[in-house]
Amino acid sequence: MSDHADTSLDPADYLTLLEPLFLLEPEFSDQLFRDLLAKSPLPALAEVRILVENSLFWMRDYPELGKAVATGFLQLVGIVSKNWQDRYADTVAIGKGITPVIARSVAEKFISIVRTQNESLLQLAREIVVTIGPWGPYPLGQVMNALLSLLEAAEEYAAQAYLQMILKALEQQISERELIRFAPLLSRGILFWQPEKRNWQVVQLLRVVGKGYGLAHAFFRGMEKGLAHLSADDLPLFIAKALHLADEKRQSRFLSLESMLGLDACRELQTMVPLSAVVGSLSRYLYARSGRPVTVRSLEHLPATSRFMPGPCTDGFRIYLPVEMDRGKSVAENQLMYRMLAGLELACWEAGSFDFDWQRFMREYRPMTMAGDDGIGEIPGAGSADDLERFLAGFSLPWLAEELLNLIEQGRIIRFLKSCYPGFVKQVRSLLDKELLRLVAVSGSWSFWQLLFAFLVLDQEPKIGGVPHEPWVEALREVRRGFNEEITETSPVEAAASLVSKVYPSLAAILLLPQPGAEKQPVYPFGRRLRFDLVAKASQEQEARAVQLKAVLEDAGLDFFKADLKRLLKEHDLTLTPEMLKNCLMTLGGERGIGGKKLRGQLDDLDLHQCFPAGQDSGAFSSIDEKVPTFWYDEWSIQLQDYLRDHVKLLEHQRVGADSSFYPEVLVDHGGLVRRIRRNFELLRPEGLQILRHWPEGDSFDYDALIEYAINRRMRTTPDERLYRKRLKVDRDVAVFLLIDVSGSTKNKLPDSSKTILGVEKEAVVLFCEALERVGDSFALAGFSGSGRLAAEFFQVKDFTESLNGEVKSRIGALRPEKNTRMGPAVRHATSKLAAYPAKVKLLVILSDGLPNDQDYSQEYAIEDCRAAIRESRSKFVHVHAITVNAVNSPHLDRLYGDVHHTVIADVKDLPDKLPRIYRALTKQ
Amino acid sequence: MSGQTNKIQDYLIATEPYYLPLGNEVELFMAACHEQLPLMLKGPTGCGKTRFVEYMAHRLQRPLVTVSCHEDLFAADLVGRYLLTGDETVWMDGPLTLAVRHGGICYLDEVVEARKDTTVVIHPLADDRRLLPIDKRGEILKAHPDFLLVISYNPGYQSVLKDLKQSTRQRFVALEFTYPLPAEESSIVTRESGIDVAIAERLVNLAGKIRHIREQGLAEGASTRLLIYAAQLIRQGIPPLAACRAAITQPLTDDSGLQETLEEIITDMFE
Repeated sequence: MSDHADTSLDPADYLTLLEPLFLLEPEFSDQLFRDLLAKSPLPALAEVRILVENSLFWMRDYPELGKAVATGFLQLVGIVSKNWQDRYADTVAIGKGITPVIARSVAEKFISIVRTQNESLLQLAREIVVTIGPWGPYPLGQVMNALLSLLEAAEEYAAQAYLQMILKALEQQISERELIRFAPLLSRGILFWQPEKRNWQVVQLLRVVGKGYGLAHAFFRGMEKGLAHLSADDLPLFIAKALHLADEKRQSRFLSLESMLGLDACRELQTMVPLSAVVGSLSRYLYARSGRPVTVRSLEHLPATSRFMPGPCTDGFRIYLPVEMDRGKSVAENQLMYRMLAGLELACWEAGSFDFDWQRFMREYRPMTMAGDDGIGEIPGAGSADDLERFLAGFSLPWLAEELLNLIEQGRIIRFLKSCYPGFVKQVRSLLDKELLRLVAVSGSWSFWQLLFAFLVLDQEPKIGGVPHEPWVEALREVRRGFNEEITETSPVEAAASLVSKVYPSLAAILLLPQPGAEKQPVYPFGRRLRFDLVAKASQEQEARAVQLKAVLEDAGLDFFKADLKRLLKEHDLTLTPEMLKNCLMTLGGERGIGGKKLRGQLDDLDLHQCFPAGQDSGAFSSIDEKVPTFWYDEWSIQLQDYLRDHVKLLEHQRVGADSSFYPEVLVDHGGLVRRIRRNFELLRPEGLQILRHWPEGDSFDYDALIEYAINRRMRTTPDERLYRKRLKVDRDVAVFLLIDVSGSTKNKLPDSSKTILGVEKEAVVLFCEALERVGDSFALAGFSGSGRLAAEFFQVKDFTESLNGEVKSRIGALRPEKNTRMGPAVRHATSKLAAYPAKVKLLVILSDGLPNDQDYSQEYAIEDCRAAIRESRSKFVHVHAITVNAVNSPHLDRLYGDVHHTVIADVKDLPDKLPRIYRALTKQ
Repeated sequence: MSGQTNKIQDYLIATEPYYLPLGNEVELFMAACHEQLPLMLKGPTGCGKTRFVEYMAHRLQRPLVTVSCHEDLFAADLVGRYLLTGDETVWMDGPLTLAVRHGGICYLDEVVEARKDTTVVIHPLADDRRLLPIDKRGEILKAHPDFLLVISYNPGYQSVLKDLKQSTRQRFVALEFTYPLPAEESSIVTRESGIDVAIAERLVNLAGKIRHIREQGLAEGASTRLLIYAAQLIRQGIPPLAACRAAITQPLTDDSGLQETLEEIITDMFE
């Protein structure tokens, strides 16, 4: 480190030292003086003297260089030692040996390098200056800027490797022009990788560049496509295979995963599975098991909290899983781990882990121990926000009670699961056992919580011999007794809470002795635990509405548990109407043995509207550009059960095509698929005139059939009467309108990809157009969005009379994410265009990424209006089929479109392949 | 003619088929039958439409003539044709004519698959005229009072080019069939396959999960028929996982992603 600052410094001393500089550059010197004073601590006089000397050395003949050196020293004094300041000065001198301009560039760019105090880095950087400097300041500047971007990201190791790569490229005679592109490519590519893996991935990049700098681009492409998922052990093996190939072209295709060989090699080596690769299949699995859509997110989306380390969990609405899984030895094992973890989280919902109800607990499981001198404090009153918080607050050590509840509840869930999914329990126990043993091996001994986990969740006898502390044995036995006696496969969460309150006093006494193991943050397999805190936070709205609803029901003399009401609200995604709620309460009442006509009567008399959010209409909104054709459409109002006449203004825009490269690029990227589509749809195309043979009537005889006839007669067997050939004019007269949702949500990127949802949809549209061109059906395309009822937007891409020309193709590329999803008017407008077009069969295909949603147009209201619009279409003999992407099916989609008239594609990446196939199935003859 | 009368008796169902009523379909069928109204049975594949017709035919003690419709089905295949017997030309009634003449139930299965110029043959039978014109014989056959026309139709996966015309649809009384409730479906699977109730319930539970998935390629979900097949294989000693794979997963879909999900659910439910 540099000399320490002199705290008794007088600023006037600085002025004295700066005087020679001031004579040459007064303004600069003033600024330097102010900058010195702003530093904390103030630099020592000796350091300032060195700064001035070095600056003066250059200032007289090269003022700009002198200033750059002064600025450089200013950033180094107090940070690096004199030794390193001297190195900085020497490096500037090296640069001056080339040209003063290079020296100035060095003075500016080397500050960050010197601050690392990394000798290797400095030497490599100097070598770069000596080699590239003679080419001029621009190429040197490009290389150094790329280096600085790595240093700014604190990637010192990568920066060093980067310089080595540049030197290797120089050895391979890279040209100046290529170098200018190569340098930023390297830094950008490296920074795109995950920080925790960068260092060892950079080593492989260095190997690749060592073979040929031209291979770097292929390597980066390969990393994006899947090489990034290879482990630190497997990536070198892959690179070795690549570099072993005969020529650079083959190596490039291998590295970029464009060759089958490369793809197979990557697949064989890959064991790590990213969440993005399985989220579609996980969502589908979870939906199949639960019957409702379940969102899966990575742990990166978990709300930040210091309470617990991030691990797989749920907040009651979403399931959070690790962004990658690499604990297993193979892809299959890691995929299984994801499914097991997701299944366990879903089981919390299925088993009602978050449906704790204080009232039900007190009524049915009245705890043995309440407030008193056995360690449990006063039970707080009904003012507490959450029932479970209220329960835990009743213990002198809420964290201890919560930990017990976490484990007992997990044990209860496993008992519940065993009755429905015995196969799942068998698999998940095996997985958790393996992981638990690994944790214990790492730590060297069992913690109390881990022993309890092994007993309750894995159903293993506590390893008495392996229990490190004698008092724990009795504690484990007590929990085991209580668990076996009180928890069955149908016990609710309140039973687990009751067991907690029974075992707490003795466990608190045993566990809080000063000994290790009963730690506050236990380590469980995969870091997984029940996150009651997250659930409480995420369901605050449901909690408030459930409280309100309960009060209304109680006033009417109806007794329902708040937790049950909360669950109803959650399950219906807040789209519950008063009428639906009454029906659900009837069902709930029936389950509890209350019900029948009396309950129905009481519910019918209730006004539940006060428990629901305010109604839909809230006035008009700002209109937009009026210089486009506008159309007025009715809208169906669920409240009025009638149409609102001329309620929606639709503006029909004509997008100007700006992206003429999009269409051909898609055809290249999906080359194989395009060829297949063209072939399949050619086969669909009617041949104009079809000749039917062996027909019962026709234009001429089929002579083969006649001969058979004669033979059969002679044989005295019944001849076939189909003796004719018939020429049949096979007509296919289909018109299809493809309506594409271009709302703002389509700008969302796909995981691990630079593509957006709309980007993939547009690719699918291109392939769809190719299919329709081949089969010869008439078609039109449009996008739709909306921003209030006075600004529903319709983006005409192609109408029926236009051919698929260059302009239309550009318009497809020009589609971009807009605002909201006002679907009803778009359906009506497209239907009007279809109805006006003469075709025997008319089909409207709606491509969307979710339910309709706009200002004052959401949930039930929007769904009912869209249903009305679709009914109107069908009444005009327009068949309507919807394709929803990047979602799982929900009952709302069934209600919206009719359960046989829509298709769900969970992973939008499948859309380009599936859209033409769906169309083919819809229109086959 | 007596030969044909004997022939129609061949279509009588001797043994009562097992059928578990799920709603008021039996009453509706009886009422329609008494009023001589034709019936359309709508519903997904494998949910019991054909079994229901057999059950009602047995109950009414009427012959049941079933025709599986396809796109090469001509009017003559339904109505009849002349055949050569030695040197003689003999008229042979088709299945539809047989039922019309002798008072049986004619069941046209998957009627939408037939060509439209074939389907139109049933129009005069399906309205108040109850007539079947036999052009080749110059005969207009008045339907026997006991004649009943029943068609089946699966709206689920039809091409828009092959939909049932309104002029055909609106000649029928429609009964909608769907998969039974779990308790009922378990009884059916147990009865039909002979498997024990616990396995039947598990299979029905599995079907419920599968029916949640409505992606492309799995529009209809697992039918009761497939569950019975799986149960029968299990009864023969095939392990449940293998039985479900063969009887449920593979017939339902070729999509590898969907197959994977089905396998996961099956693995969860069977040890």
